[in-house]
Parts: sequence; C-alpha cells; structure tokens
Amino acid sequence: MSASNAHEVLVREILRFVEAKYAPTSSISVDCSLCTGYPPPPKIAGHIPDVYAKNLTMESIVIGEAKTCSDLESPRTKEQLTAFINYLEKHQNSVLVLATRWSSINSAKSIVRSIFRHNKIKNVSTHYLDSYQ
Amino acid sequence: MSIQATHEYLSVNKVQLDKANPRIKKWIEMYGDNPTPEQIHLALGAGGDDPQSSGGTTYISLRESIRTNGGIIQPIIVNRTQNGELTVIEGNTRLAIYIDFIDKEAAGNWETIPAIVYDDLDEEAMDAIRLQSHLVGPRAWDPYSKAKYLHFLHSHEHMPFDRLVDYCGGRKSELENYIAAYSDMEKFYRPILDSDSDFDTTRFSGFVELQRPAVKNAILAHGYSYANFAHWIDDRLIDPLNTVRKIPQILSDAAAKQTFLSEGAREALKLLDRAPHTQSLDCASLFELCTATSSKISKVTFIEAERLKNDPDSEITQALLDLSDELSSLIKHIDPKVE
Repeated sequence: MSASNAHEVLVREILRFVEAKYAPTSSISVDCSLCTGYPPPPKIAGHIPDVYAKNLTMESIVIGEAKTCSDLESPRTKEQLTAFINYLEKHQNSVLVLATRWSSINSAKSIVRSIFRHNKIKNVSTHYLDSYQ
Repeated sequence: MSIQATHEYLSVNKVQLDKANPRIKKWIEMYGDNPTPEQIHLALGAGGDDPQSSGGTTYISLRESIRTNGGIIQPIIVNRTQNGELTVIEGNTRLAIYIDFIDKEAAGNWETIPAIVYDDLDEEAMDAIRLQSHLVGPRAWDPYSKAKYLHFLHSHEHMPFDRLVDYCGGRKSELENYIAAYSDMEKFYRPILDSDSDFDTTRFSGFVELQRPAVKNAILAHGYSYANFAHWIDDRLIDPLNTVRKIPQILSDAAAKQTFLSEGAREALKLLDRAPHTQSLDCASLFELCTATSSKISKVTFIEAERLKNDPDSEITQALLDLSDELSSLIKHIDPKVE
C-alpha cells in the first residue's frame, strides 16, 4: 500500500470513530479527497487537521490526525501535533484522536506524552486508533 | 499458487544448481561453467553492489550457520522434471554449500538435503517461486525483537557469544552491544513508564548508541545516570535517536547542555561550535553542497574507506553517519517509496 493510500485508510478510520461517537451533536469537517460531503477543517496555527469536529452545545473540539509510520517521526509532525494540542488545551473536554499503524502506536503515544510534558498540557484527552493494514 | 509439493530428503549429488537462473547464467557466461559455492552466492547478489542484498546474509555467515546447525532449517525448493531431473529453484547457495562441505569432507552429514519438491513445474510457476523468495521474502525482525531473542539465548539458554555469532553472522561486538542495549532498556527505560503498553520499542536504537564508551562515560562524568538517559529518551529530548552520539559534546558545553535539557538535542546541536570553515559553507546553497559532497565522496579511495570503517568514532565517520541519517529522513519525505 502506498503512503497516500495508507494515510487515507487511517483518515477513514478516524472519521468512522468520530461519526460513531460524536456525530449526533457535532459538526464534522474532513480533509480527505475521498471523503466527499464534508467541509474542509479550519487551519490551526498554520496546520490543517485531517478531521475536525466541534460539539454544537458544549463547545468541545475533537481533532483527528492520521500518521503513517514514516511520517510519524518527522519534526514537522511534532510541530503539527504541538499546534493541535495547544489549541485543544484552550477548549473544555477536547480530544485528540491519533491514528497510525499498530506497530507505531507506542511511538505515537510517546511523542504525544512528550508534547504534553513539555507544554504542561492538562485538559486534553487522547484516543489512539491502531490500524492493522 | 496451489500446486502440490512433497517434503523430501534428496541426495545432494542428484540435485543440479539452477544454471538457468538469470544471475547464475550471467556469472557462468563471464567466468565459466563451474562456479564455486561462494561465486554462486555472489552471483545471486549477496555481498555485492546489488541494493537488494544490502541487508542480506554474507556467504560466510550463512555457511557457518549451516555448519553450526548441522544442516539447513528452511528446505530448498526443487523442481522434478518428467524425466526425473532435479533442479533447484530456490536455495542454490545452500545446495552449493552442502556440495562444498562434501568436497572438503567437513564433519557432519551433508549427503542429503531437505527439500520441498514440485513435479514438472512450468516456467511461470518457477518464476512465481523465485519472485516470492527474492522480491517479497520473509520480513526481518525489528531490532528490539532481535535483541530480545539474543538476550534470551545468551542469558537464559547460556549460549556463548561465539555460537551466537556462528548462528547469526555479524561481529561479536555488535551482538554484545545489542544484548547490552536490551538489558539497559529493560533496566532503565521500562520502569519509568506508567504501563507496559507505553513501551516504545522504536527507541531501542538509542540504547544501542548508548553502548559507545564515550557516551556512557560522558553521562556519568557529568553527574547523570543511565536512568536520566532513559528519561531523556522518553521525553524525546534525544530525538532523532542518532543524536545520542553527540551527547559527549552537548554535555561538555554549558549552553548546549541547558538547551538540550529544555529543548532537546536537535536544538542543542545548533549551538555547538562549528568548524572554522562553516561560515563560508553556510553561504553555499543546498544544491552546491549536495553536488560538492557527492563529488567528494565519490573520490574517497578504498584505503580511506577502510580507515573510516576501522575508526567508527572518528570525526569524519560520525559526520558521514549524521549526513546519511539526515539524508535518509529527507529522501523518505520526498519520495516515500524509497526504502
């Protein structure tokens, strides 16, 4: 599977998860050419998340980001996740959903953990989706 | 492919090497009809400039592994034609090693070889087997899993290093480093995590780099411990992992050390003193630097390359390794298809 296909598979997994858990009360936007019918997500500190959901009543935010194994360790990823996490920290009950291949899931957790520590993040929940493809 | 095959022990002198294999054929055309086992192995791409074989086993390590084990573990794959001729489709090197052992009267039973035997395969089916064996192949274990198993064999099964080297190939010092890195990771990294599900095996190569005496000495000399090192790894202060090599320089420089402890090694390295010529090189474009570097590297002589190989801690070797890491990371980003 090519890197772009792998990324699309992960974005769809995030979308499935967000729709199942948050759809009734949230507006969802998606940055994926194959997921038609959704508006594009907003730009956050210069970065566009793959999935963005805003709860219509509670003002909470869900940001979903898909990362292939080769992408995960790049400095750009760290910069992007830091921007999203800092943004989520400013909203109540916000959630970061990170999807990656199962073999990289602990790397993803470790990167997020280090961003949390470094930026003293307290109010953001995380959810990890591991793909077996 | 769903063609029936049987597992058999074949008499070695009745099985022919696959001289129709394109790479063996090429060798025979160049060097004659009776290649030695080592030449067969080279012809099949191992140990040469074939990029597919860069992570492959060397001929010597394969031969010694077979000798130590008293035989092969993976049967060779053979085609039996209607008139009873037996030809190797996959496993030419292994068969050649058996023949060599018989010729040299090596201790052990080399007269029969385990084989998966197909009957009267057509060219297409043989091509499918060759493709699966050479282009897809079994996936290598990740470094942490390798180290875990080596550690188990050495520490629990008490297998001596020399025997491990015979089985696995490589250098004894590499295996020692792997096992020591595994031990350090278990001892210092695992305990600082909230749960085992946070254990990130991709951090393993950081602990391999830790085994360099200069790195270990620098950590202790500056009043830190290996537990601190594990925290640096977990906090991603050491990121990318090849920056472990730079810890001695970083810890020796007050400003770099401070930046390292707050921002990480990547930022700290920017503060370290650079070579005197750096200022003028900084003005050169990336294109100019790339062409100049590749031209310079292409002129490295064999003697010079050997000297670098034998001095892994030298300034130039380290700089080349750093360059290779940075380049691989960028190339992967530019073209994800590149391995």
